[in-house]
Amino acid sequence: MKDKRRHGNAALRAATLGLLGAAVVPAPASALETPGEQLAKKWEFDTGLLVYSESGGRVQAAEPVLKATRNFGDDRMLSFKLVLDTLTGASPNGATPASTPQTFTGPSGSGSYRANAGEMPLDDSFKDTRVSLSADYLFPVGENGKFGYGLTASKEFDFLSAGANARYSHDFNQGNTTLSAGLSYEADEISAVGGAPVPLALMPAAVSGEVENENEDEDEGGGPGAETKGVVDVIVGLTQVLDPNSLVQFNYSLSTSSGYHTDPYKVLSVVGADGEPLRYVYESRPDARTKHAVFARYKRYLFARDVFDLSYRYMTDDWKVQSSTIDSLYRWNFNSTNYVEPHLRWYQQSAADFYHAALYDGEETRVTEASADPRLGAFSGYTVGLKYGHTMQSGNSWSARLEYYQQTGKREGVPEEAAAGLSKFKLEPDLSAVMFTVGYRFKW
Amino acid sequence: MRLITAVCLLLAASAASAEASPLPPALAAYEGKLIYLDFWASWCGPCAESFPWLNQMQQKYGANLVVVGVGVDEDTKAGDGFLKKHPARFQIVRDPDGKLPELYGIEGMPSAVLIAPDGKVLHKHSGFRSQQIAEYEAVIRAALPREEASQ
Amino acid sequence: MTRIALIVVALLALGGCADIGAKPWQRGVLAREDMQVDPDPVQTGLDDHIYFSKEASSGGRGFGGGGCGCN
Repeated sequence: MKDKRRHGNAALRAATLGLLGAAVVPAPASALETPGEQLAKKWEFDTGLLVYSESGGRVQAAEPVLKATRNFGDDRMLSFKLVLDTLTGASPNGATPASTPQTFTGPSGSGSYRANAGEMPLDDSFKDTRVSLSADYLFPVGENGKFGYGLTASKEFDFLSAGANARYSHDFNQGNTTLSAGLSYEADEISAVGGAPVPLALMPAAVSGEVENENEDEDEGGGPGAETKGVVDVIVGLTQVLDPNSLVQFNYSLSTSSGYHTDPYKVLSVVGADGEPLRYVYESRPDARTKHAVFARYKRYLFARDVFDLSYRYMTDDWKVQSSTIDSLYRWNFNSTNYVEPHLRWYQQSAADFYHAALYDGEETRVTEASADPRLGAFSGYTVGLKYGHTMQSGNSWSARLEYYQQTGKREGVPEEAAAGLSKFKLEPDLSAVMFTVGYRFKW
Repeated sequence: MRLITAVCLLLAASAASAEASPLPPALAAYEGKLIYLDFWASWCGPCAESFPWLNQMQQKYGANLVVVGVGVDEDTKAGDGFLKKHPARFQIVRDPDGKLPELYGIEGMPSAVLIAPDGKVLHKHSGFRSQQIAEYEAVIRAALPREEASQ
Repeated sequence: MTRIALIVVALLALGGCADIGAKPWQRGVLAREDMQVDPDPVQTGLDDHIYFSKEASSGGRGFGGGGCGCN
């Protein structure tokens, strides 16, 4: 141990001698800190920026995040989070490709958009900005408990959401076992441009810029008025330390939502036996959804330096969607201030029972629910990524992460009568996206 | 005569070792004193919060109390770094093998054990909450010799 | 459904095995930032938002436990 001859460092001298076992009476201190005068910085800021870009002129998004946490000491923490989300670009509107160009009306006749022959129709008629704010307070309860509660709110031009949540965790076995439970409620209001369309109603034909509207009045927010949805989420979990270098976590979560689940801008193609579109109808989803998910995670410290993290989630719901997610990370701390972290995620889901790639002529009068939203289809996806992180002398840190996400659709929900006709088109849109995130964390 | 002296000395020596301190070798230097044994580590946030208070306790009751901070970092360099950031004006003992916490049955971090001059454990508690320092100090005062405690 | 419930109950019972774990003074590794259940909450939030927009599943990840076990 080096004996640093720092001016007046009686404490360090005493400490050095303490190592040798000699009894030393510490020199009188010049100035004492009372427990209240902590020199520690009390605010911690965690910032990030995500840039997301899908290939093929599809969605581009930039999302800055700012999180600020104030530590009041004794494990009491207040945090605030602000997220901005700007979205541009196109996404599939649910219609299938056709052998001739197709034209679709934008919401509330706000223009129209086209798909060329053989092309997957993409709706690029809206740009969107979302702002989201949340506040959260966490504090200890008794010797072994922690309680937290928070509020969230988020706004897009056609969507408003507010929520509240609470969670509690309790430590057992000297902190080796932790049981936790969380509850949250969210209320959403969807004010679709032009009003929410009547489910499975005809999409009005676009005639060179003029729109024949067969729906009800199209005043801003008119039609049936704003739609609402309520979501209740419950989660229970167990975290268990296995040994000084590893832990596991298991969670079960339940989510029930009721209200308007439909995407007011998405349609389905109603096709004839030749697979060509005859008309388009707006989609319709059930007004209730119950999801169950179980999750398991394993973390282990390896080679006295690195961390391995592996997790699995299985989800099933009453829309008959089932999914599996495997996520793995390896943090390679190649020196004390830098790391590189490869990431691999694999995802697979089955289609919802009301998912249809397209409807056959007349089917639209017989079904009560139908959607061609690729999000509800069958597909598998994988993400590969690499993250680099650096910690500075000050203790502040920054990181950069580059990832690639690829979704491959599975052909499903094709009406038998039109199967032959539709076989000439690729119905399941694939998705490729590049995601770049930078982050910076600092204390103040 | 020499034989009797020798036997007496031998008996005295063995009698002394029979009343030998129950303190472990690492704490032998503090035998016969009222010891406030505090377990800390570089990775323990509340330990950083507790050091200024421990400094204050050592300063206030220095004549009768020895505050001994036992650092349990397995990585001694990490412990050194912590001491640089949070200077200790009290005794420091390093125990990377965890013998002392095992001996005193520590149940959380940080932990404090108040040991009487005869080596008996008077009080033990886990955790450090700045809202409870009055209670922590009261425990010390209760163990001090009467003249000091009444000041 | 009952199957899932039974699995969860069995896993919760695992917590009763008091011998598994680390002594309170052996939590140096568990206290590391990269050993926390969620070392980068901002990144996790961004990822959750991406996958929520592109997939039919969401959430499920938990909170709490591990760490230094202090106080």
